[in-house]
Amino acid sequence: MTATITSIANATWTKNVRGYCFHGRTSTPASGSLWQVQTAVWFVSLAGVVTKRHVGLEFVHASRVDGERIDFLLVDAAGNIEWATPVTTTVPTGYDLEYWVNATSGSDGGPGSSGSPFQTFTAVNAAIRANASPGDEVRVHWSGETHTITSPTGGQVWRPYTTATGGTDLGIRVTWTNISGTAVISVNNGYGVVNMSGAHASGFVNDGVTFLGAYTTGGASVTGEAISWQAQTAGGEGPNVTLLDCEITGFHAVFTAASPLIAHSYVASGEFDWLICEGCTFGSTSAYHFNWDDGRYYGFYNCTFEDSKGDNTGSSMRFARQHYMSVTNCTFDRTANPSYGGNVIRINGGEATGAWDYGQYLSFNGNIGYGLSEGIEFDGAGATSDNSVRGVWIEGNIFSMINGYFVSFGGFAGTTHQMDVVEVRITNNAEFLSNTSANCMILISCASDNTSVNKVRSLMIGGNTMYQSIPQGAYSFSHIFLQAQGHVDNYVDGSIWMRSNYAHCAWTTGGGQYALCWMYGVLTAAKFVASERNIMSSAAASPTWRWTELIDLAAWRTASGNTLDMSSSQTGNITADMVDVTAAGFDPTPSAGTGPQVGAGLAGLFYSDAVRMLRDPFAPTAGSHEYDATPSFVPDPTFAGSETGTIGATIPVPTMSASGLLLINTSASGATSANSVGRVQGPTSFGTKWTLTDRGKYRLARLFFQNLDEPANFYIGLVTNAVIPSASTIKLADLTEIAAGNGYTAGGNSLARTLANFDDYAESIISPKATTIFFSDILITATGESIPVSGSGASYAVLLDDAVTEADRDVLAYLDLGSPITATIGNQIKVFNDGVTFDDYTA
Amino acid sequence: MSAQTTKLLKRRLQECFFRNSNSPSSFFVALVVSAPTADTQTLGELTQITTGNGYSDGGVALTRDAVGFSVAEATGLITVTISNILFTASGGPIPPSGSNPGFAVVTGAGATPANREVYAWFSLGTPTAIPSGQTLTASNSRLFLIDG
Repeated sequence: MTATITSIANATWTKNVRGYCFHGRTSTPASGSLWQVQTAVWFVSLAGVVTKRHVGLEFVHASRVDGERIDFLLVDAAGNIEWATPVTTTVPTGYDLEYWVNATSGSDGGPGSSGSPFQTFTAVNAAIRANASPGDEVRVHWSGETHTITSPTGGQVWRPYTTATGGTDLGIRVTWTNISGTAVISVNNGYGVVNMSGAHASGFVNDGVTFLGAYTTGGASVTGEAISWQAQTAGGEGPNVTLLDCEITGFHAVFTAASPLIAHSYVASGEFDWLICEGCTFGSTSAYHFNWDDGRYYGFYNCTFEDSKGDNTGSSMRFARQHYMSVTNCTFDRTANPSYGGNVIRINGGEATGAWDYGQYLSFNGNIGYGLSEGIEFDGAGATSDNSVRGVWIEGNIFSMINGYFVSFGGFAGTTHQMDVVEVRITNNAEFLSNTSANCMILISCASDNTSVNKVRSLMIGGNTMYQSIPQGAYSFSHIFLQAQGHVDNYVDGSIWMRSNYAHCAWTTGGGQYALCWMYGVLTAAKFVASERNIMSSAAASPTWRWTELIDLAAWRTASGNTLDMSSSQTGNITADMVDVTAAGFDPTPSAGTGPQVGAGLAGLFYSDAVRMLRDPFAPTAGSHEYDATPSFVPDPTFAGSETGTIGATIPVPTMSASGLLLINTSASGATSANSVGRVQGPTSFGTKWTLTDRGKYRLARLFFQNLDEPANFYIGLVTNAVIPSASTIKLADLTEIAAGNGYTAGGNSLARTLANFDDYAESIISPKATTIFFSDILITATGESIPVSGSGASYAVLLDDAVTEADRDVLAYLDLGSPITATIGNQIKVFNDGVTFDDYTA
Repeated sequence: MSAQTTKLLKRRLQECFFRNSNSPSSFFVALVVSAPTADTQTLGELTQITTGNGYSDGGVALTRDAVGFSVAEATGLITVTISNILFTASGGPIPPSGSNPGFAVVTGAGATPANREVYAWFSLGTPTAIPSGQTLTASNSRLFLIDG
C-alpha cells in the first residue's frame, strides 16, 4: 500500500500538523518494510520542473500555484523509502493550501481525504488519526503554533482508532509533545482527544500542549470535552492518561471517563486505572474539570483548578467510585466565579437505583482553596444503595470559604442508606470563613432510620482550625464546627476521636444569636472515644455562644477536657465562660499574670495544638504569649503520665506504646549440647545446631499469634553447597537440592509434625531464658545406589514446610553437614538430636 | 521500653509449630500492678488490678487471627504487632480502688483467668488510673519483635 498525499481544499486551518511519527506496522508498503517514518521529502513541481523541495515531516506550502504536483517520499528509520501517490493541486481563492498525510494506510476513508480534517469532521471522524494497532505507539509532536479549528460542532482532533467507525480493541499509546514554543490547540465546541468505545481505552500523554475550548464567561455551555475516555466494556482497560505541564480551559469538561462502570456495576477485572496530572492548569469549564465513574490510582500534584471565568456549579473532581487517589499541593481558585459554586471534590454516583458512591484510600493533602462554597463532599446519595468511604486522609488543607462546608459526608438525606464512614482522618486543616453563616466545617448526615447498615465507625478530627470573620444570618448560630445529623444509632459508640481543634469568631458587632456553636445534631458523649482540648474563642465583647445545640453533650464537655464552658448552662456569656486567647495581654497562667486569666478548668486549653499555632500569629507580643513561657504546664500534647496532678482529673491515659523484643536464636554462643550429624557409616559429632531462618521465625509467629499457615507436616531436604543457606533463605527453590533417587525424595523426606519427632524440651540449657527443642533422629538410607544419584553431595540439611510444590516449600531451618556427603548403597545420612533454641534478645 | 517475654511463650511457640500441641485458642491483655518475670507462668501469680468500671477479670480479649495480630517479615526482623486494645473506664475510674495498673500482660485463654498462661508483658510507665470516660488504648503497638 502506498502512502497518499491528500489535498485539503477550503480549509480554514491555517497551519499544518508539525509532524508525526507512526509505528506503521499495519502498512505494507510497496518498497521495503517501512516501519517508522523517520523523515519525509516533499517535491513541488510545475510542468515537470521541480520548483521546491522540502525535507521534514512538516510542510507549509504557502505560496503555491495552481496545477502544482506534489510528490512525497517517506523514509523510515531503517532507510526504507516509499513514494506517495503524487497529487496535483488546485489552489482555492483565499485559503492556504495544506497537506495532510496518512502515512500508514494512505487513506483513512474519513473527511481527511475529501476535505479539511479540521473543519468537516463529524462525531465519528477525527482530524488526525493513525491506523495503528493495539499496542502500537503513536507520537504526535506539536510545534509552537496555534492551531485553530473554527467551526466544528462535533468530532475531535485526535481519535486513536483503528478505523473511522469500527474498532473494538483500542490500546494504542499516544504521546502529544510540545517540541517548541507553546502549542495551542483551539477546538471550539469539538472534542480534543476522544475514544468513543471499545474494550480498552488508549493510553494518552499530553506534555505541554494547550487545549482551548470555546466556553467563555457567561456564555452558552459547550459539549466538547478536552479529553474524553469512554471505554465502556466490562473488563476493559485504561485510561492510562498522563497530563504534564499543560493548560486546558473552555470545555464542557477537562476530562471525562465513562469507565466500564458506566452502568454503576463495579467490575473487579476491569482496570480503568491511572490518571496522573502534574503541574497543569485547568481553567473554566461549563460542567466539571474532571468527571469519571470509577477509577483506581489517580494522582493530582501541583495543579491549579480555576473557575475564574466560569459561572457554573460543577465540581473540580466528581466521581462515583475511586480506589487510591492522591490530591496533593493543588490550588482550587473560584474567587472570580459569580456563584463560587461547585465542589472541590465530590463523590457522587447519582441518585439512581443501584448507584453507589465509594471511596477507598484517598488522600487530600496540602491543598489550598479560595472563594469556595463547597469543599470535599462524600455524597452517599443512593436511595437504595449502601455507600462508603474508607481510609480517607484529609490533612493540612487550607480552604477559604464563602459559605458551605469544608468536608461533608452523606449530603443527601436518606432513610436507610447513607455513607459509611470508616477510618477517616481530618487533621490539621484550616477553614477560613467569611460573609455567610449557618454552615459547618464538618457535616455528617447519617440515615434517619436506625436500621441502616451505614454508620460512622471511625473518624479522627484533630488539630483543625475554623476561623470565622463575619458571621451573620438568621440562624440561631452562625457557624458549627461539627454538625451530625440522622439517627443517633448510626454513630457507633466510640467512633469519633476529636482533639485539639480550635474555632474562633472574629465577629465584634453582632448579628446571629450565637457566634459559634461547636456541635449540632444528635451526638452523645458515648460516641467519642477521646475528645479533649477543643476550644472556642471569640473577639466579641459579649456575644452568646453554645458548645452544643440540640444535643446532650454534658458528659462530653465535663469528662473530656472541653471545659471552656464552666457555667451550668450551655448558653453563656463568652466573656464569662470563654477566653479570647488572641487578645492582647492574654496570659495563660491560671493563677498569675496581668492579662485576662483562665481558670483551672481551662488548663487543657494550653495543650491545644491549635492554640499554640494560632497564638503567635494573632498576638505576637513576646513573652506573655509564648506557649513555653508557662513552666507549670508541660508542653507535650502526647500527655505523658508525668502530667498527673497538673491538669486535673481529666488526664488522658498515655497510649500503650511499649514494644518488646524476642529473639529466636538458633546459634547462641556457648552452645555445647551434644549435636551430631550422622554421616556415612555412622555418626560423627560436629557440634553444629539448626539455624532458624527468618522465614522460619515468621512462620512460628504467624501460627502462634494468628493461627495462619499451619503446616500439616515437615520435610527434611538435602542441598548442596552451590548456594549456601542463610537466615534470609526463603524457598527451597533458592537452594540447589541434591539429585533425587535411591531413597531421597525430591523436596525432602517427610517428617511428621508430632511430639515424637520433636521429642525433647529443655529450659536453661544455654541461658536461663533459653529453650531448646530437639529433632528426633532422621535417617536417610541409600537404597539401590548412592545418595545422591549424581552430582554434588549434600552439604546442608533443611527443614521445609509442606507446600505442595516442592520448590515453593519454605526453608524453616538449616543445618551445616560439613563437607559434601555421599551415602553409598545401604548406608545412611543421619541427622539426629539437633536442637532449635530460642533465646532472649540481648541487644 | 521493651516488652519482656516469659520462658513459657518460647516453649509454646515451639510446641505449637513443631509438635502441633498447646496451641492457644485466643489471647487476653490484662492489667496488673507489678511486673511478671521470665519464670511467671500464670496470671494468678500476679496482682491484677481491681475489676469494675469497665475492667473485667482477665482483661480484654484478643483474637488469635489476623485481626488480633499482624506479623511482618523482613530480613532479620520479624515484627508481631498487636491490634487495638481498649480499656474504657465508665461509671468511674479503672481501677475502682486499689493500686493503679503498672503493666499490661499478654496471656493465653482459659475459663479461669487466674490459670491463664502469661506470655509477655510491658510497662505502662508510672502507674496511672484510667479516669472515667477515658480510654487506655494500645493502638497497633508493636508487641514483639522477633529478631535473629
